[in-house]
Amino acid sequence: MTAPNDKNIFVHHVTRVEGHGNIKVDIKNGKLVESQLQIVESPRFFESLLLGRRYTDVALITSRICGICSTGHTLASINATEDAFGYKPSEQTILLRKLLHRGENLQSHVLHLYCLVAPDLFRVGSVVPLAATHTDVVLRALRMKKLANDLAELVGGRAVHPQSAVPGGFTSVPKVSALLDMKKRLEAAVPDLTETAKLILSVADKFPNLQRQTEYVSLQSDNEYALIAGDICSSDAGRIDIHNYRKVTNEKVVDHSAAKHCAHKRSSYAVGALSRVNNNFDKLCPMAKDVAKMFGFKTPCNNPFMNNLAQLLEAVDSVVHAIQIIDTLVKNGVKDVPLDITPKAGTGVGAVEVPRGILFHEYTYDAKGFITNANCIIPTGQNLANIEDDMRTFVPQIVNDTKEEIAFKLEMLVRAYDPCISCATHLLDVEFVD
Amino acid sequence: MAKKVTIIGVGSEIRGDDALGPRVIAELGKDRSLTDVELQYAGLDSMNLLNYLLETDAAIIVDAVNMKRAPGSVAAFGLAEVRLIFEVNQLSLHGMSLAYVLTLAESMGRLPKQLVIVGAQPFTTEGLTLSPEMEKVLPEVLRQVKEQIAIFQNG
Repeated sequence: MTAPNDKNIFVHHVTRVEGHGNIKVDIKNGKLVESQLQIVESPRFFESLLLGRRYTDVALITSRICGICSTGHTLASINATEDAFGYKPSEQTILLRKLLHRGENLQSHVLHLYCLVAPDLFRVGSVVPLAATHTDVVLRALRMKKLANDLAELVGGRAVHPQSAVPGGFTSVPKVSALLDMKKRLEAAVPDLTETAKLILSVADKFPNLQRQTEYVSLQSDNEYALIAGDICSSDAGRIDIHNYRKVTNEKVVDHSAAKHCAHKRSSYAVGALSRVNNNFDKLCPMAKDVAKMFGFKTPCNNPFMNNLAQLLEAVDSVVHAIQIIDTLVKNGVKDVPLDITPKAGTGVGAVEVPRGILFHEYTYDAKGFITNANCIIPTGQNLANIEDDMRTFVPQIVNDTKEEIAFKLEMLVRAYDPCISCATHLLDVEFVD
Repeated sequence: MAKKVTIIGVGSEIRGDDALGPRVIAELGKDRSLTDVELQYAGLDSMNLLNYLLETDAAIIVDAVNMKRAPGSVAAFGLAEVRLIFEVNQLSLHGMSLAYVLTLAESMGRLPKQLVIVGAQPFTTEGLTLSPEMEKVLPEVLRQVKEQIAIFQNG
């Protein structure tokens, strides 16, 4: 017999997230005994797949780690390769990469907010009932997603898994006329962003008010909202060179998860849109800051559910910045430049802010440009310990709710991190001693 | 001018017979006799598929379908003739199924006026190309797709 104050909650395969994870919570006598986010997805061995591959193949392979942040993996991979070879990309290449990255940021955030989060706020099981009652909302989501897809395709050659972005630059560059057409469409999307903000504001009281201080980790740069370059910034420890990323991530194996856990200055740290916004709020565009004001949003924000709002701010920032990047590209003229990168033996690190947080790739190459060692640390893996710490704070606050309500709120918490569990899963390397 | 028909190929190019949809689109692309058709490869991007459906009045979707018939069986059917099987809550960004997208379009009241699915029961979904058995079925799939195009354009 279970006592009335005992609750065992088990959510098998949390829905509306990528990949497979279970929530397990054990409450005895009204007290939380254990809460876990179990990662049950099988590992994928991407790092081993890379061994022996030539540098020209690597970004194309790592792009396949994820269908949502394929651009982020491509760019982190290219950064690591160029760093290993001591190669510095041109200003045009950097601008095109930033534009491509903005496309993906918008794609991912729009999809997460509309298809995965909105159903929670409207208390429906999925986006299907919303499609019937709020057809205009779903049409708007589709419009914005298509715009973001087309932006990514214009620069990367494909909406996902970009083809033209390679170490050394781009194998083809967009035409100025196409960039100008895209600029018009981005400008026309501003009302959709405003409507998105209004929609989320109308249901913002549905986000639980969970307050828990944690360490926020993201990229940071002096002169811009850092997304594809910069230093690591920890809200506890300040700036850290990306080459020392292992001192931050400290991956360790835990027995209930096929993905490793990470911790730096505390028992856990957070990455993602909220970490970026907390660390770099002053670098957001004025329109994003106006939206923050609409919500009374202030940094540092210690409510993990506000990661959803941080994604909205970034979606706004991405459209505004994409327009500015196009202006600069058009002013400078877009030149089709041949690639001029030469392999060199060495180790390099790439760090990119993908939609779900900071992503690290590290490769070691031999003199001919073949990989001898690879390491990829994925944002969701970095967030897992933080999600569990959130659950430990959150469950005692909601312990008197029904089991169903506790389960619902915990799923909502996990979804707020927009986790990509399939990507996070990779297993320990072992070496047997004879 | 005949009515414009959109043909949408769905499926993964690297999952055995699931490559049927993309393959049919590629084959139709080589066929000079076709007029007033728009060929779309939706791959695995369900939001793209939804966009294509919303933009047309007449659509033919080509996909490998589990009809619980013998492998290689080919059929053309409308939504009224089948029950779509899916779990409504099993939605992720990658995992929005064809059944899900069709339901979504329907609940928005935006399904194309004319819609037919041409499907074949797969032999296998392993391997990087269509199975040799499915290669033999391909002409029949193409024949049925073209038959549907003619019905939509003349009907």
